Amino acid sequence: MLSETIIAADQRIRTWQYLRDLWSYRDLFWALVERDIKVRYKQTVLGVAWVLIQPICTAVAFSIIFGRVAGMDSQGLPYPLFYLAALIPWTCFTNALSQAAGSLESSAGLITKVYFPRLIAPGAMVLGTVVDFAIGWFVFNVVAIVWGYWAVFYSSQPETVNQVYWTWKFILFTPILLGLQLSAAMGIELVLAILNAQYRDVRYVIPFMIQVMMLASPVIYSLKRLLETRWGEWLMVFAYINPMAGVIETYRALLLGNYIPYELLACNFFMAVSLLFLGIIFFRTREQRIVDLL
Amino acid sequence: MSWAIRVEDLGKKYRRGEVQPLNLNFREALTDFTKNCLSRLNPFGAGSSSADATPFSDSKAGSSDDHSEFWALRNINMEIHEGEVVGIVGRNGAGKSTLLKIMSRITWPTCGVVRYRGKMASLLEVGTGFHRELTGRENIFLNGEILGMRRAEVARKCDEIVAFAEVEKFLDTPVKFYSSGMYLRLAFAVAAHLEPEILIVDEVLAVGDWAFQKKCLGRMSEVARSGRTILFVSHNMGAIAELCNRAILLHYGKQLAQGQVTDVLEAYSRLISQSGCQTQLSVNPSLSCSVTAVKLCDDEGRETSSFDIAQSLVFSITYQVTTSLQGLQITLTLARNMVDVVHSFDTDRMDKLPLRQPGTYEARHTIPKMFLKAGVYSVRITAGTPDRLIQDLESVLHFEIEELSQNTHMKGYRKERAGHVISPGTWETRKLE
Repeated sequence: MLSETIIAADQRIRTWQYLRDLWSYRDLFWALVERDIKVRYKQTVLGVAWVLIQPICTAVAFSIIFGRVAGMDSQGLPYPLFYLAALIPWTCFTNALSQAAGSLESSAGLITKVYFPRLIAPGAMVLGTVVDFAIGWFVFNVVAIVWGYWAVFYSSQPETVNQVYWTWKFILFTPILLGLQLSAAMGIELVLAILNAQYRDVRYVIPFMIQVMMLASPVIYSLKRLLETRWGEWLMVFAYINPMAGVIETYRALLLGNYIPYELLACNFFMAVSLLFLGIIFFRTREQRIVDLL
Repeated sequence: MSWAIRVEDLGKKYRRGEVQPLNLNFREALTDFTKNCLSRLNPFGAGSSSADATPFSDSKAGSSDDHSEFWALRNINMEIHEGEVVGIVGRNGAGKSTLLKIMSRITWPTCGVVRYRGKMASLLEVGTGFHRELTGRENIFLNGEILGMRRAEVARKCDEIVAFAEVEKFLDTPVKFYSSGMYLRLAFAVAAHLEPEILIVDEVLAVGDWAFQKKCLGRMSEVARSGRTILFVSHNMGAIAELCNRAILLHYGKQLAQGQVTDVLEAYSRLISQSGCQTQLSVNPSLSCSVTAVKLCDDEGRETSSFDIAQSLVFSITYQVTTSLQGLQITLTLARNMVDVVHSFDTDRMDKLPLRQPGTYEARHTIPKMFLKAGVYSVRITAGTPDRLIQDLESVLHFEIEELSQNTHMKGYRKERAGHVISPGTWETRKLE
């Protein structure tokens, strides 16, 4: 007996049906991820190097301006590492946001012609950014290890050189932090993707939003420095509701050999998961109608 | 035999705002939202309490019933049995595509239910999801998976697909370097190897060269013979007559006829030949000559505004002359896409311009079949003497010529090709050596 499919007006799709539907389209999901990765750096001269150029250039610029010129506190980490530890996850996060927010619009050609669970389109785009992150992360590790050894063995005055404590903990924590970051990105961008399909204004809001979010996240400064300021304790509220704060601070703490801010992480984790769930719920209630707006 | 697809009382309503999403911007949504909130917060606000009893959104939907909303489909009922090949015909905007989109779960119905049994694949477009930067092989996999095949399934059929598309040599070339023919062949080849229980096809056969089209049609009938259920939309009545065992006629979202292919196609041709084929004009007493009616018939004398390319057109222009006019000329101009294609005087074949005494005249002009290309034409009539224009009637009539009976894919006069008319000349080719 063949399975029967029912399409009805005002049909309520149960969660298990929704999940089963998603699962049955897993091949398409991977195909779209693969496509995004393959296509991204086609016909570019520098290719994958672009993944590194953006965070490295920014880190160098930040080191010079905020480090040397403004003399900001990096908690004893060398400036380039201090900024790279923030910029590598941050670039991945913002890329995921800005690309995937347009995912419904950019895959309108598919959505208006073929059925698939719409969640796949933004999902695949977010996952596509993981490859970029992995490359950046790998290079970052190499830099951190080399820097650490150099400081210990080759410097003429090891005690004056800033210490970098790279340990295996760093690798251990990465999947957790990546998951945290991806679920936050996914949650936010599911909402943005739907809104963008409906109101193209979103396109203009995103770059601005990302800028503001960067200032609200401890990319340029450290949370320790923030606490020392006048309104520090109030400003910390932003860190607790901003999942990227925990991600960045943890990477830095790992390199410094400091205590990992578990309290902050737990709070951020709760935020990220709630964002993800809210995003999915928002998306689910609107995905059926969105095709008529594309 | 059990049913494969069942459609019950299906309807789809569009809001015009949704059809043109760009008109709806964030600001309007915000004001709507605030209004909505305010009307909820303040049930005793401006206006009578009875009007406020309905929520804002409801009253809006009710009042704008005839302006901002329209039914793309309404009251559609059908039952399609397993293994049937059903053709769907209708003019542009009849709701064919909407029906297919609902069936393939792309858009959702406003009311009604669709049930189907088994796996369904829909081809609303050839080459959906093809990426120009990817190679032929990569696109086969991507497209196959988009159309609902599993990866392993595509891998198994890959060689077959490549052979069908005849692109072996270019398999590892990005498809942006393909010729348009190769691209379409590859795209159709992937689609042609789907093996669902139900296949939905929208007009995809209208691509490629003639040889490939025949191949596609052949493949379609092969699929049909293998016992699959096919739902097939096409303007090509020949293809429908050849492939389908049943047909459905849609007209402005309603189901007008259903049943035998020949009956439905007949109803369809009757439908497209109705409406707007004559214009009555009032007499202007101040003019020495005024056109009173313009009428358009086909070669059998039926009034129509829609013609097949192989039908001749008869224009009949009735005019009244109040004072005798020396050298009165009636001009007929036919324009397609703002280009005047035909410009003709009723006196073209006369050596000397005639004298028209007062009275009512009818001038007929026949345009032979296979002369005008397919398209929408507008008719302009003028009356005047060589030194004076008396009347100028622009766009008095419109008519349409369609390529219904002819397959024009290999013809020089196909609608999209260059040239304004079908050459009345003849070709002869003889072998010299």
